[in-house]
Parts: sequence; C-alpha cells; structure tokens
Amino acid sequence: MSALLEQIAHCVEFGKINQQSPYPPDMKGQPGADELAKEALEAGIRPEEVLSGGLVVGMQKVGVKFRENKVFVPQVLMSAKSMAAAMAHLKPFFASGAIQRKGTVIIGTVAGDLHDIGKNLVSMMIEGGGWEVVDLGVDVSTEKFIESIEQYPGCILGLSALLTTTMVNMEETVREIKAKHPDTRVMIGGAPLTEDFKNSIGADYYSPDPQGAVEYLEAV
Amino acid sequence: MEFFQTPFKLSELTIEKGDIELLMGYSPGESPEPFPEIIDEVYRQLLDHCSPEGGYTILDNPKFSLDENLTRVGGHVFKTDKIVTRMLRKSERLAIFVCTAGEGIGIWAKDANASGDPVRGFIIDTFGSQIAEATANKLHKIIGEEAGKTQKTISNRYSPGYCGWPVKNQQELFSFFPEKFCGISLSPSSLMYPIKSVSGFIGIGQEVGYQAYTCDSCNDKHCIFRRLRKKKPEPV
Ligand code: B12
Repeated sequence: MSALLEQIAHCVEFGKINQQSPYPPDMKGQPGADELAKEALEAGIRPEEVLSGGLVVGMQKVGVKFRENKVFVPQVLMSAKSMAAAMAHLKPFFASGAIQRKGTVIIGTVAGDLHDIGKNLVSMMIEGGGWEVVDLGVDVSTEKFIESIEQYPGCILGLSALLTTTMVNMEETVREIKAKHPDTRVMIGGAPLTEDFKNSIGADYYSPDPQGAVEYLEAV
Repeated sequence: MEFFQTPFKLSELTIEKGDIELLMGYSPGESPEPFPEIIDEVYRQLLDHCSPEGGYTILDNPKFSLDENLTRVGGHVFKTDKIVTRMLRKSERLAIFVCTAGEGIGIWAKDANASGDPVRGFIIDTFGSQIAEATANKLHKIIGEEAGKTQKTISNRYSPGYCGWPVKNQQELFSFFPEKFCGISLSPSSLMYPIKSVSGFIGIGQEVGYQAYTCDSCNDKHCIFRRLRKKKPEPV
C-alpha cells in the first residue's frame, strides 16, 4: 500500500504525468501519477493518504531541490503538472468534504505589476502542500485582496511584486489589510524583496522561494 | 528632437538556443528531455509570434555628478547611482533607447499556459525575454556603428532598475519619446507594456569604453546575470 504512495510521490517529484508522457526519459512507458493515483484509490487507499503521503511528499521534495538549485523552473512545472493529474482523481472527495484541505491561501501580484511566473510557481507549490489556493491573478487592487479575505475567513495571503516601483503598492496593500484585518497573516515574495522590507511594511513572512512559503504555512 | 526607430527581422537578432537554456537555469546543451525538443519547436514558430522593434534618440551635453551619483540630461535628473554614473561619466552624448520583442510573444505564452501547458508557456516566455535582450543588443550595435562614423566609441547599455538606478526614472526616460514609441507604453508604476521590453542609456564619446565584465563592479549577490556568467563557457 505504502509502496504505491511512494511511487506516486516519486512520479510527482520527477514530473511523470501519465503513461504516455515521455518525461522523464528514464520512466518512459511506466505509469504516471495519473494512473497510480487512480489505482491507489481503487485499492482502497484513503484519498487523504494519496494527498498527504503521495502528492505532498513529492511536491515537497521538488520544492527543496528547487531551493537548492538542483532542479529549475521547467522541472517544477512538470512536477506540478503530474500533481494536477493525480489531483483530478481527488476532486470528487474535496467536493464531497471527504478530504479537507489545510486551509485557504489567497495569492496575487500587487497593483501595477503584471509579473506572474513566480506567483504561479508559488501557487502550484502551495496547492501541492495540501492547501486550497485562490489565485487572484496580476495587478490585484487592495480592495480585491480585502474582499477575498472577507470571502474566505481565516485565509492566509501571499503577495508578489517584481519591481521596486510596485513594492510601494505592496506596502500600501499590506498596511490596509493589517488595518482592517489585523489577524490575517500576509506572506510576501518577489525578486527585489528582502527580509528587511518585510519587516518595514509589517508583513508576517518573506521567502525568496516557494518552499519557504510552504514551510511557513505548515508552521502557522 | 530626432528619433531613430525600426522593426527588426528575427534573422537580424542573435537568438541562441543555449541562451534560452541558460535563462531557464541549465548550462547550454544540458537541459533534460523533453525541453530541447520544446525549445526547437517554439523556435521554429517564433516568426509568427514576435515583432521586435527598437528605437533611440540622442541627447547632447549630459552632466555627471560623481558626488551626487546623478546624471543630468535633457532637462531631467536621473539617479544613475554610483556604478552607472561612473561608467557613463566620460560620455559627450547619451543615446536613450527602448526596445521590445512585441506583444505577440506574451499572448502566445499566456495561451500556452491557459491550454494547460505551462512548460511550453514558460519556454515561450523565456524566448520573449531573450528576444527583448537580443533586440537591445542589436540596437546597441547600431548605435555603436553610428558613433564609429564620427570616431566615437560607446559604453555598455545600462537600464533603470539595475545597479542601484531606480526603476522610477523610467518616467523621465519615457518623457523623451512620443506616446507609444515603438509600440511601448509605460504605466504609472513604471512597468513597460509589452512586458518583454528593455530601456536604457548608452554613453557616446571619444573616451567612452566598453566594459567586458560589469558584474565585477556590482555588488548585487542575487542578480541572475552573475549566476548565468558562471555557467556560460568563456569564449575561446
Ligand atoms: C527575465 C527578466 C526580464 C525580461 C522579462 C521580464 C518579464 N517579466 O517577463 C526582460 C528582459 C524583458 C526584463 C525587462 C526588465 N527588467 Co527584468 N528581469 C528578468 C529576470 C532576469 C528574471 C525574472 C523571472 O522571470 N524570474 C523567474 C521567476 C520564477 O522568478 P520570480 O518571479 O522572482 O519568482 C520567484 C521568487 O521571487 C519567489 N516569489 C515570487 N513571488 C512570490 C510570492 C510569495 C508569496 C513568495 C513566498 C515567493 C514569491 O518565488 C518564485 C520562484 O522561485 C529578473 C532577475 C531575477 N533574478 O529574477 C529581472 C528583474 C525582474 N528585472 C528588473 C528590471 C529592473 C527590469 C527593467 C525595468 C529593466 C529596464 N529598464 O529595461 C525591465 C522592465 C520590463 C517591463 N516590462 O517594464 C529587476 C527588477 C527589480 C527592480 N530594480 O525593480 C530584476 C529583479 C533584475 C534586478 N535588477 O535584479 N526583465
């Protein structure tokens, strides 16, 4: 039973989507996360175990390797794709409430900024960590963030900014969120950001990489 | 004010697949399967999706203050900071340039993402970045050739947002150009649209020199170009 979960985790870590998928080359012809997740559920493994013992484990491994520069963005995207293939089999269980996610994370790139590659990666990793992600997209206004907090009580926020000029908007957004919802936790990221900047704007957490966000979410 | 503005053919630009791999994080020729095939496939279709364009204007009499780390030109003050001010200080004229890979490549990348293929989307996006850079390089070369006609040399190209030069100065930089020059617009938050665009200054003068390794004079430890330089084989 656990061998199947290990196999799923392996597929996710190495980006093996399904049997037809030629990637990674050394797993050609073998079943991928798609078939294995289905098989696991049919074999009676509980859906939450498929999630926590298979998908989350695989995504965590790839997240750590990405942080250590052992793999790069395209490989993380392959992993995310294979996670999504397995996740499709879990969808009905989320819908019925048979499995619960750890919580909701609202993510978006701040007002005035259109960069989304980094934000998308973070959002895939967080979803792979077992969280529900609501992606508000790019150029997200403060009002939109606040509306979403009200729509998803208890959520945690993830804000992204790639330019020093839009970091100013991030500061404003964080200030207004904290004024209205002081208990809402806000994590931030993006190439020009720093720990000092996080402290100066009163955000709760800064991470230069997606895995840091996943670890922070586990810790809070 | 005179403006030079031109579209470029893809064949005029130097786009190397190895550079795409570098930008993706790999050493040239070493990205794992299936990425080389996707790179090839995207490369073959590039022509249909990008419209590189660039332009510049030349301003006389720039003044550089090494005490204040400022450049004054065309009635504006640019906070070019230490490195860029020092590198440009001997310029008799400044070429102010903008260029873009065009809007199409960003749309193409978005479409690939939306159709559930983020890897292809990312590779297309990386090509977009590289084309924007290659267009800036081509423009740099043209400006160098023009300067050469009057026995002048040119500096490296420097962009707001690098080496401590605030991105905010994009507002002043764009004020030299007519609206939508080369199809590029600037938002109030100083973001250029199309996204795959680059702007900057190039110094022109008798004593202006080109620096092969600017990384050595910069202290940004996290800059991607430092990392790329380490991976790229030195020319033999
Ligand atoms: C490729 C690139 C370009 C390309 C394309 C850019 C694009 N948006 O598509 C081109 C060549 C066109 C370009 C142009 C410019 N660029 Co540029 N560019 C880059 C570069 C090298 C990579 C960006 C990228 O795609 N990264 C890959 C993704 C995956 O990384 P990421 O978005 O940072 O996300 C990661 C982390 O930040 C983090 N993260 C992100 N969001 C979040 C959120 C949370 C909650 C968490 C926890 C983590 C997190 O996790 C992600 C995964 O690891 C960066 C340098 C760098 N090291 O990042 C500069 C960079 C973004 N550019 C910069 C600048 C200045 C510019 C220009 C203004 C230069 C100019 N004057 O022409 C223009 C602006 C273009 C515009 N449209 O206005 C600066 C911005 C900082 C600043 N000074 O404001 C950077 C940081 C370079 C630098 N100076 O160090 N650029």
